[in-house]
Parts: sequence; C-alpha cells; structure tokens
Amino acid sequence: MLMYRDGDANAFDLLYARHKGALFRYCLRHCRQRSVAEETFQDVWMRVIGARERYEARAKFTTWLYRIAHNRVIDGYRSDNSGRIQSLDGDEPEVEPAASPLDEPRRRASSQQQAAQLRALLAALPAEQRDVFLLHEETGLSLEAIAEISGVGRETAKSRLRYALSKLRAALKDEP
Amino acid sequence: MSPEERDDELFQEYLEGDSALSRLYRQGGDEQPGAHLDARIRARAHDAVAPDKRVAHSPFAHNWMVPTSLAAVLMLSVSVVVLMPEPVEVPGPAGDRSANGSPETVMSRELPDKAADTEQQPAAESAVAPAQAAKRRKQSSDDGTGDDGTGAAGGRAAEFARDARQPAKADDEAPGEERKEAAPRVQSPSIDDAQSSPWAPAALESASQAAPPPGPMPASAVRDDPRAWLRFIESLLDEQKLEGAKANLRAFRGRYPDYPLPASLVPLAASLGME
Repeated sequence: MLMYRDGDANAFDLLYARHKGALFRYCLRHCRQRSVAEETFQDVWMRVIGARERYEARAKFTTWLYRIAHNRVIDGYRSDNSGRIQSLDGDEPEVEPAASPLDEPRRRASSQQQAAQLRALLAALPAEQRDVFLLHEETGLSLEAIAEISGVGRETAKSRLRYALSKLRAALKDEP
Repeated sequence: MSPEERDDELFQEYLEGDSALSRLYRQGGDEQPGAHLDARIRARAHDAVAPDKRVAHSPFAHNWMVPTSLAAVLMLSVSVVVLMPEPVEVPGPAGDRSANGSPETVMSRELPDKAADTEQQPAAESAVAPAQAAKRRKQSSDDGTGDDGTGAAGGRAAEFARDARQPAKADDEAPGEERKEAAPRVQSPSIDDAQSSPWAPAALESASQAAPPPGPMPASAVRDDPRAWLRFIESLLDEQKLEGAKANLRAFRGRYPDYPLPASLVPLAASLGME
C-alpha cells in the first residue's frame, strides 16, 4: 500500500488480487445479495483509493482494509430500510437456530449441502457474531485485530465469536 | 471432560484454524467479484495515480510552494528598495533649513523663474506677431506714450532710467532685495503684459506702491528717489511725452503728496488740478 501511495499503480494490482476474494465474500455474507455486495465491495475499494495519501503503516493493511469494510457495512445496515440487511447495533433479537433455514436442508447429507446449510445458519446469526466469525474466517486475523476492526474490546470480540461457534455447531449437530 | 472444557478446547482449535467448522465454511464457495468490477476498480486506482494528477498533488510542489513564494516576495522588495530614488537633502545651516523648506521660500525661489517666463513672453509675442509690435511702437512714438518699458520708452527716458540705476547702486540706498527686483522690473515690459501672465498678482502688488499709471514708468530705484523721479518726468516733458509725464506726475503725487515740485512741472501739475 505504501508503494501504491507513492504512485506505483502495479502495487495496487497486487494488493487487490490478494484481498479481493476474501473481502468480496465478507461483503456478500453480510449483504446476502450479490448486487448489494458488489456495490459495497466497490465502495470499500474507492475509499481505499481515496485515502491512499493519508495512509500510514501503523497497522497491517488488512486491519485497515477491513476497518473500512466494517464501517461501510454498518453504513449499509443503517441506510437500508428494507430490512434485507440485519443491523449490527446489537439490540435485535437473536434468531434461534430452530427458526433458521436449517429446517429445509436438514435432511441432505452431502458436504455441499452442509456448506450451504452453514451459510444459511451464518445469515441467521446476529450481525455482530456473524461479523467476528467472517473476519476470522476470511482474514485469519487475531482476536485483538478483530476487536480493533469491530471497535470493541478483545473479550467482547471473543465472546461474540464463541457464541457464534456454539450456535453453528449446535445447529449442525441437529443435522440428521 | 466437562462440557465447558470441551467447549474451550474446540474454541482453541478453531482459533488455530484447524476445525471442522472452518473446513466446512471454505467448502461453501469461493465467490469472487465479477471481471467488470475488477476492471473498474483497477482503472480507478490507476487513474488516481496517473502522472498528470501526481504532478498536481506532488509533494515536491507542496514543499517548494512556500519557499518559492517567500523568495519572490523578498526579491521584489529588495528591487523596490534599491531602485527607489533617495530623497535629496539640501545642505545648509539648521536655521536656513526651515526657511528653505517652507512653502513661501520655495515659492520665492520659483518666482524669478516664473518672472523670467513672463519677461520672455513679450519677446515671444513680438516674434510671433512682429507686425503688431512694430505698430505698437509706432503708436507710442506718435502720441508720446508707450506700453513698453524698454523699447517704447526709448530715447532719453530710457537712458535716464539706465543711468538712474547706477546711483542707486553706488549710493546703496536701496536694500539688496530691491536691487534684485530692480533689474527685472526695469526690463519688465508693462503692466498689461504682467497681467496677462499667471504671476500678474505679484507684479501688481509691487507696482501698486506707486499707483501705476499708463505710460512709461521709471525703475523703482528712481521712484524711491523723488528728485530722480521728477527729473524723469521732466525728461518726458522734454521729449513731448505729455501723457507719460502726466501719468508719472499723478503717481508721484500719490506717493509724495507734499514734496515740492520744480518750476518746470508746476504748469503740468496745475493742468492736472494738483497745485
């Protein structure tokens, strides 16, 4: 990113190639609709490009990038009135695994089906738990970095992640 | 192993990246953004660091903007100070400095130049219209009067006026300033010419002491000496310049009302109703 800040356009290509898949999936899992995810994804990169001159290597680029993405997702949640994106504010009632879309594909046994079930379970999670789970899965960042991106303490991030894992495992165990 | 301990163990495995849940998540799909989105974002990124835009936001330009401006301002200031002419100080004693610097002094220093201008004006006038000047001289010689103090009042009167300056100088009767004035005043052509000049008020003020009549007038040194003035009037009478003699006699009486007239001028004074 420092090279790109100093005018090396090819450095951006490398950066983009390295992070585009994970970031896109992060956006897609949050937004659920591909068009909305693409819009969010593009907006995140535009913010990165626009803020390149102010970039300082005080943290990992991944942390900086996902901090931008996290804020953009929150903006999307707040501006979306259709309810298609769940709020990250945390006051919403948690979705019980029993009410999740697991009911339908529960009888399928293949791994692909299980993966689809996992995505459905993930979409049913509270947004904060989904966020920390996605950050961990897509970036491999530590709890400290995830906490920094989410703007919360490490223990809060850890707690959210444990809740997310417990719910997902419990729902998958119910799989026949 | 208690359920809590088992849960902690699973969580630690998950954090280390070796969990069935993570493997299952990765099997879920490897979605990527579309190619058109890739191209658009890359294009925007490349445009942002294009050479023309980088010049506009060049840190070099930012760093040198202020020093360059300061240098330009400094150079302009020095140029102005160096090229500006210094005020000339007039050397002289402190007492004279105030007098020299006063507007009156400046004006009095300028006056001779201006007077010289007025003195040259008739000459120029005569040069422009020699026919008119010749006519004027002829008329004055015919009727014995003249509006010209030098050319028209020629003959004995002019000689007398020239001679009259010598005693004034020799006797040192007139103060120095008057001597200075005497020369231009003898040469001054006439009151009419003086009125036509922009310095007419100054000329009128000096001439008002003798209530200047029309006709040839002697120099102020002569007018200051009543005997010399009377001899001048007698010379006018001798030259048959009656109007000039009358005018001078009126002026003489205005200035010296009680001075006794010589016998040669008594009839003229009687004709004017003075005696």
